[in-house]
Amino acid sequence: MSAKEPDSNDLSRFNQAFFEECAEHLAEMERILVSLGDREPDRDQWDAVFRAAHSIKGGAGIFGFDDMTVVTHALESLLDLLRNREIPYRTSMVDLFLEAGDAISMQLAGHRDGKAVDRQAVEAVTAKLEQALLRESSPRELPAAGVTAPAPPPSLQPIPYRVIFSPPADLFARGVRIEGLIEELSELAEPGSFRCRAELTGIPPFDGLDPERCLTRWHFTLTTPAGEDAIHDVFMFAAEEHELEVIRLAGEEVSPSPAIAAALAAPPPVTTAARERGDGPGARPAAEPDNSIRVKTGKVDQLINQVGELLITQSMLSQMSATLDPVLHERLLACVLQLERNARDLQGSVISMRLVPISTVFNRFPRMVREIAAKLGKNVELKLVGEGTELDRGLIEKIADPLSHLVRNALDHGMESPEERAAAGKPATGTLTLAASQVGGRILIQVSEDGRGLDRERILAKAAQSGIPVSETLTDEEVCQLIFLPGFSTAAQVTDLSGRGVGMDVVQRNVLALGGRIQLSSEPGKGTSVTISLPLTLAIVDGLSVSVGEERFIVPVSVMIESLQPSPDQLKMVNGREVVRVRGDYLPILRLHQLFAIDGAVERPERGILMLVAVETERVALLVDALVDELQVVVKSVEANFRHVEGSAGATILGDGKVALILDLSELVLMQRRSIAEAAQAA
Amino acid sequence: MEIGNTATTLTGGQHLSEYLTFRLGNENYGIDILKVQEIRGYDSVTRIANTPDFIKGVINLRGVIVPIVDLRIKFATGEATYHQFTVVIIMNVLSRVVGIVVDGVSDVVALPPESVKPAPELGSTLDTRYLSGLADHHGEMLVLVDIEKLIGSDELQVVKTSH
Amino acid sequence: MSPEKEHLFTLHLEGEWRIEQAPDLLQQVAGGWSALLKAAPPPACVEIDLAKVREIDACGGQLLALLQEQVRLRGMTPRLSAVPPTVRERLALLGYLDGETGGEGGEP
Repeated sequence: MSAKEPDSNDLSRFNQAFFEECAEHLAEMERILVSLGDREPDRDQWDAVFRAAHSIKGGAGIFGFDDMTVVTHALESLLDLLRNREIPYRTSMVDLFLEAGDAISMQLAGHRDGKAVDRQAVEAVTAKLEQALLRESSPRELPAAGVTAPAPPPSLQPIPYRVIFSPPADLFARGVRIEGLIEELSELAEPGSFRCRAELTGIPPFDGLDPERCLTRWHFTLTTPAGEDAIHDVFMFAAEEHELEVIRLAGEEVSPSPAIAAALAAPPPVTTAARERGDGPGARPAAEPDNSIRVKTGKVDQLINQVGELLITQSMLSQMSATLDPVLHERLLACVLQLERNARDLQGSVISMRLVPISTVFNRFPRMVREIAAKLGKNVELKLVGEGTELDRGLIEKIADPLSHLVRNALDHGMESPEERAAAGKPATGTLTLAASQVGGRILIQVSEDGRGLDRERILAKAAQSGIPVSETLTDEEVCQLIFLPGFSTAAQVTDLSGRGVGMDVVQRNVLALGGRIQLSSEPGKGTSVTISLPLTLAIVDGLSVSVGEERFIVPVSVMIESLQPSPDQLKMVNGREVVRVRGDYLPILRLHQLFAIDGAVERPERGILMLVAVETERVALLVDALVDELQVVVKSVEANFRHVEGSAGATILGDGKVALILDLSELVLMQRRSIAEAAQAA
Repeated sequence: MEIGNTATTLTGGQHLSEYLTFRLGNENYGIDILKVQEIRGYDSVTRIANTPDFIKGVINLRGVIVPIVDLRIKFATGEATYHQFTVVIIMNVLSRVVGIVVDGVSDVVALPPESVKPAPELGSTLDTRYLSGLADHHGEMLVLVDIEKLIGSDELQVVKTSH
Repeated sequence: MSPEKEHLFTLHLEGEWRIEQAPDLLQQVAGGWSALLKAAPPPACVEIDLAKVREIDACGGQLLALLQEQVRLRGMTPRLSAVPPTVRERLALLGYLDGETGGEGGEP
């Protein structure tokens, strides 16, 4: 008999797909609703919002998340009436829909992450939706849950279709309720036009039969005005694209009478809805075909890994062939060169598969800005620029929080009140701009506003008050840097939005952890702008390989400032700590050979190389024997098979096949501090 | 050299467990062959700082980074030298891939369950905690190692540090 | 060719024909099937009595369809009988009633 264990895994794996899609639908719904402002949504927007709600309901029903179907059902019913203009639209409804979206998000989080669900809030929203429904549509009754099909747009002609659904073998085992799907499909059909036939794809003997294995292929015929998309939507969570075939029948199987055929050929009767839209059904732009497939990120990562392997093999080949006589082996060497180019191209293509547009993060801001601005009594217009800029999926998830923080800060601290702006001769409505662009191998994200700008005197005063040593001689740029120090906050009033001091230092730490850099510039009275620069991907790091004794390490280029061979008079001892003087600054020296207990390394800094690196807010000098090479390396996990190695952020494989650790400078600084503290204790 | 996963064979309806046997000093040990991924030579190990001396470092195993533990040093079974015949057993335990260095791989043996006796409290180099039993194989004593317990132990510091 | 009343063999099925019971259902079907194969002389018509089937889902419907196909493969005619209304409705919805009559599997 079939084992239960894998089945439940299959089910949860499939739930995951639903969770992801559900989150996407919720985001889409919110994006549209927030973009409305005071305008009434047009038919396309209504349809899109309705489809999102409908899809969530359908998916929730299939996977047995019945609590989610209740809210979505009420939401869907109301939306359906609105989009068909059976009830009037009111601007206040947007807030109700957003609230409903939040409730569904919360339920989703409950099912996905086991987070607590505020049932009362959910019930309250449901009640509000139902009230609105009753109030606005008194003659109509709220249809029973589960039987509402999307009402077909009245202006469209019914079209006959044949639908063939060839489900995967685990359809039953993963708990898909095919009955519900068929019911839903039958509801799309014109009365009497629906037919369903189950075909067995094989007739295996009972001996050794897995009764849970699906051996059925379904054939449906139906005539519906709802269109192909609606048919696809029914199977959205149950079928992959290739498992569903929807064939539009040219009236052969369901041949209309000559009279009907004539009517079909005539222009369709123009209904109210179609007239208001200002175009006939044919004039509507065809939905953009979705030529994409869903692939698990794990599969993409595997591919990236394998391409990384290929690159290593290729670089070994290059190294070996470099010793060959170029005249004798001209053709071989040309091939090796060609291979290198091909491998790099392949790597680029594979990495691009992990890239997603930054709009997935930016989309959350219209609503956030709207709400915060309302709370603060400020007038703000949000501009989004370069939403199509792509970056690594892993980065997208991690950059969202720091960006939210920056947006909050900008609204709270940077943007003035309308009165203040008027007094300064500026337009009452301020502008907040989120811009993304790709510059070389990095992504720049800028959060800027046209607010009051940083107040140099106030920052200095605040820093002095917080016990940070400052002097009047600091440049403006240096004053800006003070903002990134822990415990710094300039808000004259501490608000519940930005809080006190949890701010830029945390943002900076998060950005650095992603291999990024952050910069702030400001002009009094004109505004402030924060720029984050990120690598394109987390899977590959630009690094410098350095040698220490026999060992090799990779230093990420993102932390590098410069490297130098110090002269003896640059080296000093300050409070028992070794430092190097670089243009008036004293930077502590980190001896890599000491931290990693490596024998046979260069011990006198003037004989080796000091690499000046930026670690959070300080700069340190890392002592290594020599710089070997600048290269792009594929980041590998050490922790997959071993414990965490202190001072490292993963490892990579060098051209000779050996493993080299990628250094984590923040951890190295911590290790240094600990060893100094231990030495002090021992003394 | 790769070893196929021909772990349990059915003979007369009885399960024979197969063990890969290896030497540590002058004792013979056996580990469940299902846990063995492959056997290879000792080569290009990258040292990891601040680890005990029996953790030799990590290697690149077809793109995967795999730690190497020298059981000869851990259990002080004699001089640990490295040459072209030094053997590393790559194992799949606790959803990790780990390599162990031993004195030499001997054989693959099939043992009926009744030939496995509980391990005595004393008498072997390895702590009884890490043993699953003793077996007699052609007149020689075979110490059966519970490799999951050994690799997962704090003492070995593969999964986490002991402090 | 009239198989009616020549030799009739009746298989009684029962219980909830749902995926949760799949292993039991398979046992039920396989048991009935082996009894059917031992019947002498081989029946021309196999009546599948569903009177005691309380509920059915797609997994159960598929198993029932498989049983009917197996019967046909052996040159016999399957026939469902005493189908409870809810079960019939479900089978019809799922499209598993199409092959019921045996007419499709017979000679043209």
